[in-house]
Amino acid sequence: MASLTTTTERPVWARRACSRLVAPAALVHLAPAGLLLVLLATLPSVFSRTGLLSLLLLASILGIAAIGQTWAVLIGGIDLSIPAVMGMADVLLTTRYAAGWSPTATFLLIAVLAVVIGVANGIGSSVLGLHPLIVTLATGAITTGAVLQATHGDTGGKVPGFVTEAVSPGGRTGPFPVPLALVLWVVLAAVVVLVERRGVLGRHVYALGTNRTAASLALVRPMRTRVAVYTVSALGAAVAGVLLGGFSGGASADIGAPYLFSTITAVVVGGTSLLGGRGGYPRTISGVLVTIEMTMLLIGFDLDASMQQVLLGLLILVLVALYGRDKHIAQRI
Amino acid sequence: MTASTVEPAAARTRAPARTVPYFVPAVVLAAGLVALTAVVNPGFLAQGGWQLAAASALPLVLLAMAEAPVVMSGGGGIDLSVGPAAGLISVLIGGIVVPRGVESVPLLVAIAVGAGALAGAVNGALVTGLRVPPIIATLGTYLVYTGLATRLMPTPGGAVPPALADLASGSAAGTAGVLLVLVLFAVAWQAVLRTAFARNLRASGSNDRAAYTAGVPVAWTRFTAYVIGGAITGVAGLLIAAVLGGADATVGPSYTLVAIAGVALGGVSLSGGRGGLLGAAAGGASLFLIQNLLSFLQVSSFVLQIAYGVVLLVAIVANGAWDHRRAREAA
Repeated sequence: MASLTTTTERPVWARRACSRLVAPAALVHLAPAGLLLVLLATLPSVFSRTGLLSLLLLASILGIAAIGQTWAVLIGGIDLSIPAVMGMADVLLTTRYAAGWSPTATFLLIAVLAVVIGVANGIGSSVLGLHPLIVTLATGAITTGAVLQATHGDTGGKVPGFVTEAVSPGGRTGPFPVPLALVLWVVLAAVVVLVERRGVLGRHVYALGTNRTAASLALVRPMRTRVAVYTVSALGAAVAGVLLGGFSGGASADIGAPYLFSTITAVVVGGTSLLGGRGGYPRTISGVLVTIEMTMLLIGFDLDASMQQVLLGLLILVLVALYGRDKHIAQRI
Repeated sequence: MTASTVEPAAARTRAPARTVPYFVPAVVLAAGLVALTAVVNPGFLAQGGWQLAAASALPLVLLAMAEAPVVMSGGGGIDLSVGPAAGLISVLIGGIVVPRGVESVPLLVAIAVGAGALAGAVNGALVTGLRVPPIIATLGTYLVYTGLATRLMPTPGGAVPPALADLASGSAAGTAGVLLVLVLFAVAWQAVLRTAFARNLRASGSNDRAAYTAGVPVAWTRFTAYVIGGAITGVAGLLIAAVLGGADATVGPSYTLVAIAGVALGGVSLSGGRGGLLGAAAGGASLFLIQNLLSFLQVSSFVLQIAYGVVLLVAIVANGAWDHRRAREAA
């Protein structure tokens, strides 16, 4: 009773702030713009066509990889197999291309394998209520091991010219002077947001993430939804892996390793709740931009890699402490 | 109660369901792997192979144990920073404190445990005080600790006193030391299990809202879980320095995911409430033994990764099935 009285005595704005589970959307979407101003003020060299396009290209790769992470988090799960799928896509792209496969056949193979991994993650995290963290960790390890075994550790090869073109700031999409990766991200983002807002799958994702039992009673099939989500995740990771291959110009099975934590960072900095059911891809887009801008800012300050890591960690903590905090347990009863 | 309840004959004659402790599958798996290693590699028992294996397994076993209280405390509790924290402490010990002339082992243990508890307290304060989601709070400290370790020691080097280096040498005294560490942890955990903290830990992990309503100090319990995990991480960091005979800032982070896998393998529920240090230790030991066995058989490291994933999946499916069975018997 005493705690109730103190709650009512708090100012209105404080109560409103506490009653929210996720950050106000306006704050999240203003953050990338604000950080961009800081970036431009400190590093004027970014303010050029090439500079801005490089920023957006890096954001495209992270953004496409983070599609699945967003949905996995929305259903209350997590996908740790994203880096492994990215590595697989990258290695298959270069080795198959070097072996004389047509790009279509290569992409088809990558897509089929990605679907297999996604379905395995979906079924694995549904059967017997296994924790998705461990299931995706295991499928990721198996994928990386299988890729290295199949190629005998020789992941060298060539990247097709049009993939490199798609992620270079000078690239063109048809008649437009915009690289293909960026166009692809915009199109995929539009589809993802449409499915979230209007699609049946989107509705099921939010229902499952908010309350699994209630969702089942509302005839949402948890396993089917999870399979769909993790398949989307694996396909997004595969596309991001191909693009990353073009960006780096080479191949290795662990090329996606930095994306294990950066996809999670982008999702959480965007304000999507790790408890599931709240947030969405528009927030992740802002999270992606903030993550990339922070990284560029730290690199631009000419700090060595270890200090960049320390500051990135602190920045994540500060941002999430500002707007990604959990509710106090007394307010969740 | 019993007199008035009408039960079907079959149910009445069946013996009451016995609850099997959560750690049994993991301990059986670890024991089976030890037996398998002994069969495949006779030198494991005869020529002192196991002493060396025990010493090199210890950091991983301890880190899995460090992860356990945090995961058990529930609320999505997880500590991604165990690996980098242990790495940072090994750098602190092997790269800074020992080269400055501090060679007394008790003092080094105190420094390592203190630094580990401090790292755990930082995580705990972020999670319970600031209420940052555990996965993101410890991801932040993961990056900070990794960066700090590299900053303090860009290239591998450093030193440890002979008494510590001896721990990892496989000698009789060293093995006794390794076993002593394990026994001390077993005794300490048994003591902890007798306190109200253990009960509060299970309550917070099983259903934090019910626990809070019943007056359990959930936030304080979780904070303590992070501090305990941190103290164990400190010991693990000391042993990493002992095994390396110095310090290397790059080895720490790779331990994190293996430690979490060990916890899951050990039957500790990732959603909290169920588990303990014994299961986590057995899970961590199993992962080490698999790796040890496969490298002895000269299987390529690629297959090792596949095997690692498959074992993890099979083990958690088995643990899940075990749970289902228990739930059905209890119902």
